[in-house]
Formats: sequence, C-alpha cells, structure tokens
Amino acid sequence: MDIYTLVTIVFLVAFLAIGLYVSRKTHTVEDHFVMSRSASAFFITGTLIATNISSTGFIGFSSTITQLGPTRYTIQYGATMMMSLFLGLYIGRFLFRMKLMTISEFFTKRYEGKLVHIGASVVIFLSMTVYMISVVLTSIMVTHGLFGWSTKISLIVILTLLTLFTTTGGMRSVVVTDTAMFIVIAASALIIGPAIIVALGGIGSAVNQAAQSIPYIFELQGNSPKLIGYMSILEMNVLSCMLVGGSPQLISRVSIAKSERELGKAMVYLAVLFPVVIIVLLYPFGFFPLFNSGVEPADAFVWTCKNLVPPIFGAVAIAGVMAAALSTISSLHQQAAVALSSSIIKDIFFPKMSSSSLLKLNRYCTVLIALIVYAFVSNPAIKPSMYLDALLFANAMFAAWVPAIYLGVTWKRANTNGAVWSIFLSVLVIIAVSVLRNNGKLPIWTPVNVIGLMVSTTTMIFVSLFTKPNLDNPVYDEIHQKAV
Amino acid sequence: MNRNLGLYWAFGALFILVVSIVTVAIYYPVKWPTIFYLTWVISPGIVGGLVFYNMDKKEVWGK
Repeated sequence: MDIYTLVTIVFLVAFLAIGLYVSRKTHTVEDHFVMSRSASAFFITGTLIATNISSTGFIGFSSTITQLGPTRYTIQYGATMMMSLFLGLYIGRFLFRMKLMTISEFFTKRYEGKLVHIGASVVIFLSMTVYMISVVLTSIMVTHGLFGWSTKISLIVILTLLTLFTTTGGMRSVVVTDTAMFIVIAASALIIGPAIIVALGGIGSAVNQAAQSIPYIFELQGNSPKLIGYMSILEMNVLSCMLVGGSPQLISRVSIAKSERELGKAMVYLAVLFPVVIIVLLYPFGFFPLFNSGVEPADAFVWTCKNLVPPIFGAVAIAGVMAAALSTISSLHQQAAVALSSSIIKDIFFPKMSSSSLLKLNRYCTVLIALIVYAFVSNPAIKPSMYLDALLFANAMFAAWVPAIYLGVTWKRANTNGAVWSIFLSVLVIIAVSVLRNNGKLPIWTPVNVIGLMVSTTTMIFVSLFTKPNLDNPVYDEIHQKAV
Repeated sequence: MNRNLGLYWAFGALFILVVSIVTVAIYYPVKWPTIFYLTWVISPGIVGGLVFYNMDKKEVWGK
C-alpha cells in the first residue's frame, strides 16, 4: 500500500468517525433534518464550500481547464458568490422565518393544494438523485486512477460509507463532517495549484511560456470559438445561480442557521473565502499543458499530486478530492432521502405518520437511494464522461421551481396556479431541450438551464397575473411583518 | 457582537482583488480579460461585506 492510499484511507476513517461521533446528539426529526437549527456561521460556510466544490470541481474542472483554458469554467464562481449573498442577506431571511424542515415544505406553506407540493417534491428527488449520480461518476474516476479499483468496488465503498453516517447522524453529521472536509479541501487548494506555477519557474516564467505556446489561456473564451465560449460562460454562470439559489442541498442550509445574522455572516465569509480557494486551486491548471507530460486531462490533478509536490502533501490533496466528493454526495443523499421520505411518501400517502416512524422511513429511503445510484452507475451504458451531462440536466431541473420559491417569497400576487404551471411546463421543456441537444437536433451550445429558467419565470408571472390571486396569505404576511 | 465585521471582510476582499490585478498588470501580455474575470469573481466579497456592515448598523435582523 503506497502513501497515497494509506493517507486517503486514514482520512476516510477519520471522517466516518467524526460523523458517527456527532450522530450521538441526533435524536429527533428536527435534529436529523435541520440539526435543531443550531449551526454557527463557521459551520454553514464550511458545509457550503465543501458541498459546492465537489469532486466535479477538483477532477472535472481541472481536466476541462487543462483543455480549454482557466477562465471559461471558473468565471461562474462570480455568479455563485452573487447568488449566495442574495440568498443569505435577502431571500434566505424570509425562508429562515418560515422554519422549514424540508424545501418542499415551502410549497405546502406558501401555496394551496397538493399538486404544487407533489411537483416540487418529485423534481427535488429526481434532480438530487441525478446530481448524485454525476458526482459519484467523478468519484469513481478518482478511485480508479488512485487505487485501481473497479467501478463496482468503488461504488460499494463510497455508498456504504455515506449511507452509514447519513442514516445515523442526518444533517448534523453531514454538516460537521463537511466542515472537517472543508479544512482538508482548503489545504489541498493551497498545495496543488501553486505547485504548478512553482514548477514552471514562477508566475513570470509561466506566463512567458504560455504566451508562446498556449496564448488562448489569457482569453475569457479559452481554446474555443467566441460564440461557443461566451454561450458556455453564460450557461455556467446561470448554472451557478441555479446551483446556489435553487439546489436543495445548498438552500437547505438556510434552515440550519441559529439566527438570521449568523446566516448572513456565513454568506459574507463564503463570498470572500470561496473565490480564493477556487482561483488558487483551479486557475493554475490552465498552465498545465506547458508540462507536455502526455497525461490525459482527466488525470492532470492526480498527476500533479504525485509528481509536483512531496508525497505527503500530494496524499493530503488526494484525500481532499475524496473529501470533496463525499461531502457533496452526502448532502445530495441526505436531501434526496428527505424529499422521498418526508415530502413524497409521508406527505402524500401517510400524512399522520409519527416522528419516530418518519425517522425510520428516512433511513430506509437513504439505503434505497444508495441502491438506485448503484444500479445506474454500475450499468455499463453509463460512462464516467457523462458526469457533465448529468450535472447540467440536474441543474436545469432546479430552474423549474426556483421562480416559485423566489417570487413566492417576494411577490404577494404569486399564486398556486402560477407555481403549478411554472414547474410542470418548464420540466417538460427542459427534458425536451436536453434530449434534442444530446441528439444533435439543437446546437451543443444551447443553454438548457437558461431556457428552463426563462420558461418557468415567464409562466409563473403570466399565470399569476391572469388567474385569481390569493392575497390573504398568512405565511406571506407573517414573514414580511418582521422585515424592515 | 462586532458591528464592524462586514467592513473588515470587505477590506480583506478588496486587498485580494488589488493584489491579483496588480499581478496580472505586471506579468500578463493580454490583461483585460483576466482583470475582468478577477473582478467578477472577487468583488462580490467586497459588496457582501459592505451590505452586511450596513445591515448590522441598521439592526435589520429578525429574531
């Protein structure tokens, strides 16, 4: 066993131990779903960064940046920060006041009727599961490259570990473990990115070499024609907004904060720290082609860990990738299980279910989702390179219900008809456009999430305007009474 | 409760932005795309810090 395998296993065992240790404090449904609303800004920042970066950020983006240039894919983090601030300092405060246990609960409290609740819950469950498949696919690339494990062995190890601490500790275990992982991820960022620049002789030397052989890295669109590059930048920025503002695994962190100020503080920490981690970690991979190492772009990160830094640092960085993967998957896993158990099975079929039964059901659902992901990813027809398609599709699905949340919080006239039509119509459009794009019937640069967001927003506004409003909504009035 | 917290973080982000832009201005042959990129990615920290400082000053937080 080499040092890379040894250190990664030590870190994995440590994360599992932390998760299980913290789970001792989890007794009630509120503990399990929202850690009894006790998280400080430090924990919220840690879990948000760890969940957001994922193994897609490390392996997927370092690979893409190596091929296409550094700015095209990392420029999206500007939109990530803007949306985080909008969420934490404005919208999140209203959601916080609603005391939500699950994101689907927003639809029950704000809109009348079951249809909107069912639509939102199904979209959340599906998008979380597809997103989880995307991140698992990139994690398998890591375990294969690092340990030489087959897809099935990797899946069994990853899903067993996650299922263990997600079923026992719920949100509390996920958040505390995420924060520990964030520290390892930040350490990895500080080691690996700068190592590339140092190996090229410093920033001056690296830039001079790049100007001769890869001048495209100084352009925003990178190594692509301008139209494709700029449309991709647009899509990735909208994707980021959707990811932060609409993805349940991130928006659910609003409900764990111990106060509104603590939530706002976390978003300010995030807006300053996250760009530093991203730029230091990922931007230098734009210079990677200068090594002429002959390695595949997908292996650029692991190659850097093994060749440009002392083995112990490289091992910690690789453990950081595993940490990023596990933290994201655990959050997605937890949210998918909550959507399936609480928002779909309990709310629709067994509304009178007791808290203890719900807790048990949630644990069964966590195991069931792990099995579903296993079945999909172990299918030979699913290739690791499909991770980006899965990510973009899952993300586009968030566009279906984001207007129903954001307009529901800020616009009193937003009504149930608008929310129902907005969700169902945009889901159909998103699926149709995704299929047409993948079949080559639409140009590859067609931004699915932008189209989905435009359809859902305009539908929400027009249907709400032209159907009977529900202006005596007590929830809307209550959350706005406390606002200044 | 430190009411200047937002201000400190805003200055921190401003410092990072200035250092990054100066580095690009000194070394890069094509400067503006990277300067735009850095400004887009780092400046939300400045805006966020200032907004948070203002919210703290006005005590807008609910219980």
